[in-house]
Amino acid sequence: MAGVVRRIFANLPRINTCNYVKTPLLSILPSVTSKFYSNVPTPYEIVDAQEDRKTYQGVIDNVNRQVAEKKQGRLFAVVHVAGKQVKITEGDVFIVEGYWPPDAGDKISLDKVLLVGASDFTLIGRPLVQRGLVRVEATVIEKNVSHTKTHFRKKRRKQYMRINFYRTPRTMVRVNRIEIVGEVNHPPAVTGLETRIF
Amino acid sequence: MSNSHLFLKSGFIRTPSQNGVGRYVCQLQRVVLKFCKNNGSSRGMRDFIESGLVDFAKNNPGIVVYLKPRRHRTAVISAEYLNGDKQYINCRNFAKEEIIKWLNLLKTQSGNTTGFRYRKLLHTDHPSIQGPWTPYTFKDPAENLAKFPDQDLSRPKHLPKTATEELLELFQRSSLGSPEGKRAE
Amino acid sequence: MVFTTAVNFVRSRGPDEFWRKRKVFKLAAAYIGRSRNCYSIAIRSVHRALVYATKGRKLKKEDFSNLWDTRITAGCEQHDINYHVFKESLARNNILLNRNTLATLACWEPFTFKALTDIAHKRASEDGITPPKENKVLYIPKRGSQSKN
Repeated sequence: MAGVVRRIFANLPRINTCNYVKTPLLSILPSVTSKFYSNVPTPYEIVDAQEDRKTYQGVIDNVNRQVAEKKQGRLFAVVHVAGKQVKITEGDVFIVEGYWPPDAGDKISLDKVLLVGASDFTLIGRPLVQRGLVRVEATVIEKNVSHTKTHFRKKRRKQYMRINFYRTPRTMVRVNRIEIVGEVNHPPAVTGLETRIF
Repeated sequence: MSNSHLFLKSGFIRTPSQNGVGRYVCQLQRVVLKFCKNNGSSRGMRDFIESGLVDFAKNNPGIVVYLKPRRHRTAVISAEYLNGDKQYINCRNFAKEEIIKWLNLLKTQSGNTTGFRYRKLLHTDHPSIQGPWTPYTFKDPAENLAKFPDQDLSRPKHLPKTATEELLELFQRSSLGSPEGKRAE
Repeated sequence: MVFTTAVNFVRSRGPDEFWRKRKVFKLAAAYIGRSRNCYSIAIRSVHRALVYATKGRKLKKEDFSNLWDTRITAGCEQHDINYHVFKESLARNNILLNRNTLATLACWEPFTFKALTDIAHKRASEDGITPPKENKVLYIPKRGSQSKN
């Protein structure tokens, strides 16, 4: 029996079937660990590395096959735009509030993809899905300002009254395409060079 | 009946003729710049017409620009859109930069949206790809065949311990309850 | 000046009382009773309404954030995980979806949400984060080598 007995407490980076991007596990918050401090015996787990790999490789192969045969159906994605996260699918229109430089008619690609899903599988980024794996294309179709909002403050019996009016800029974006290009769990040997200028 | 719709209309995102699906179509069709040739309140408008108007017209071949001088009247921009909307902007005492800003805004709008509140900032024809959650989504299908009243299914999911149970546990843990305690006696 | 009606001509001469009041009456047009027509009552209710509108914009955000929490908690409960443990485990896994997105996923993409709770479960059991009340070993998880034992 090729079992390895390992304490589950060990902070080893591991790959779940959904998480294919290996990132160092940074966020271990001491405050919360002490909050949920427990003195129960740590459970042990019997891990068979080979069997384990076989299981998740099977899942990834299934996903890759679906993508290659274009049987995954409609995709949705969670993208990070201008400080907010939006869940979008093809043909959606969403509004970005506040100042945002793209002009009407611009074709943009939304690169900060946190999650991509289909009816049968989900790719979860840690925190972002591998760059270049998913392509989300969008068109800016309108830039306008919101209706006039009245900011009115008043204190009773204190002779205090202030009134202000404001309108926030808004940008309407149409999502043209969401697609998976390339293979899941097959990152290039060298990453991070796309954004560098030599 | 409420009359709130009379003051600030509200609704959902509408895009004229699926704009942006194939290509982007500028929705502004016609702009009329009205101004006075003498009055100081039209000065910024006159500056813009002298220096920036030709560039604007050249950069936007799809927009028809008219000039309409009127004596002793305030400068105004009137814009007409593909969907038939018409919007006036009072440009009294506007500087040249302000006029450029408003013209650009009119150019990128798809209609007269002043006085229209969006209830949601997202429009989607497919809100759910996997099917929305229902109370039966993660239920065990075996429960379909259960006969009620059923003791196991009728029990609350998280039942706190009763006082009796806690006392019993305390007793078990104490020296009296445990077998070692008894042996010690 | 040119006036289409004689009434407006008369009104434009005097002090701006009529026009000043008209701004308020326009906002009070849909009110009930005398607050629609009596200025001294109308101005009070209009001021109150504007203050409510200003405060309401902030309240709306709070309400929505509470709604997201409720939805995520309900989703977590179904998959047997505590809300705080769920959030903490996701943070430790570097999955930075915000509460708005998580609530949307719980409603509209339930299977994706289940996948997230599975990941959180795994992480929580590995790191030993469980809320104090549920501090018990329910089972010893096994992976891979189940058939051999």
